[in-house]
Amino acid sequence: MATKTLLRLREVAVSAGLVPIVASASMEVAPRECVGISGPNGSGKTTLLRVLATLRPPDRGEGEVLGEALGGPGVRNIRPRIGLLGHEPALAPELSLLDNLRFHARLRSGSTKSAEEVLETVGLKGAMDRRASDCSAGMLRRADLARLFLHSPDLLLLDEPTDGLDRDARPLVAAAIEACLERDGAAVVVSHDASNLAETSTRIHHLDGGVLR
Amino acid sequence: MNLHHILLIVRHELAVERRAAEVVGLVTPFALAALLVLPIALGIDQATTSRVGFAAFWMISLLFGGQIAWRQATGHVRAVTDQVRLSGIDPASAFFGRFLANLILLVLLMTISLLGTIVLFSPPPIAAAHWLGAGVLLFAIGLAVIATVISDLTIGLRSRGAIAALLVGPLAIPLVVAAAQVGQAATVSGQLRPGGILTWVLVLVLIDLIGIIAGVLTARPLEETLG
Repeated sequence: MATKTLLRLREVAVSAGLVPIVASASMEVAPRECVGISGPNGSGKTTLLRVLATLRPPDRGEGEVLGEALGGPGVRNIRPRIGLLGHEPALAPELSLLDNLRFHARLRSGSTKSAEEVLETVGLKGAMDRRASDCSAGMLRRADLARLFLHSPDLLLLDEPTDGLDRDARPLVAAAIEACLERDGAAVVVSHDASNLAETSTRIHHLDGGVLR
Repeated sequence: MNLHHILLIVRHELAVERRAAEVVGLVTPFALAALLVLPIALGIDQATTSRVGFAAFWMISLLFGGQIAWRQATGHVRAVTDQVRLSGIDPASAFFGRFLANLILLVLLMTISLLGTIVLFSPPPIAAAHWLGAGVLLFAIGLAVIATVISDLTIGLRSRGAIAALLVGPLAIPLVVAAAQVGQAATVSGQLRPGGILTWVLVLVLIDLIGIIAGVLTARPLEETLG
């Protein structure tokens, strides 16, 4: 890994029109660190995660992800090294779970595993051909999680990763984080419930009133 | 632009349509039903139905093509679009892939509607069928570009469906006017001359080219700006 810090934010602020969503966020994440961010609903956790995923440039402040400045032209080069598990499953409802995962595998040319393998890993071998629209929230979460096992991201960003997962499936989240940290990567996990973060995180920040503490 | 990425996106979009069957199973049958209703409403006066046949075709193309364009402009799951961005695919390739998929679906609808028009309305013989075909294709290209650009512009907006509907209709009207003029000239004379087919073909080509070039060139800055 070329950079000592995989992720750095300094006084980052994001707003939607005139409404501030994140007023001030500063943090650093080093390799092999898993950082938790907790906060009440609507506190800006998902927005902050989108900033870290380089999907949304900050309105103020500055930051660096995997060695590239946020909002700069270089972010396109590091995006394939980011694994994002968002709030909403990244699955086309019309397609089967297998077809969805095959599409994601083809998108990432460096996929190390097949769609069938990762669906089996998350316990969905028997439901591969089921349409995403016919699956339960827990199954969709598992399938979305399977996407993260298709390639080997250096930075894992997880938004409420255990939402909808049963007790048996929760270790899959820990496994994904562990695999990333073993590669000298890092992870950021956000949740409204700090107790969800305690098990996997090396430290926990709190986002409240738009300020990350 | 990367051909492999373009084909990947086309394949994905068409796979979604194949499973949802909205164009083939819903929009196209309703378009044919609408075509069927018109001659019945006009009575069995064959001279009248024959005269209005192509007018009905362009009206159906605008309404139901607009429906497909609206669906394509609003139907994408944002989380999937995010993953396409994170995969590192060039936004211009993604734009062009979605445009091609939209185009294929629109051409499918218009081809079936055109055949339906010929069977149901028995329009007069076409002097230059290739120019009519060109008009259909150029209209479909324009509508596909509009749908794709609107999709990129409105992604993430709460009132996406309403905004897309408000934009698709007015932007498609100049296209259908020009395409109908090409169709009219193709049925009457088929002569490629200034003031006849040529002018309207050039208008359509110009609109389509501007749309495609603008879409490809703005895909990347638009993606980064809209977040």
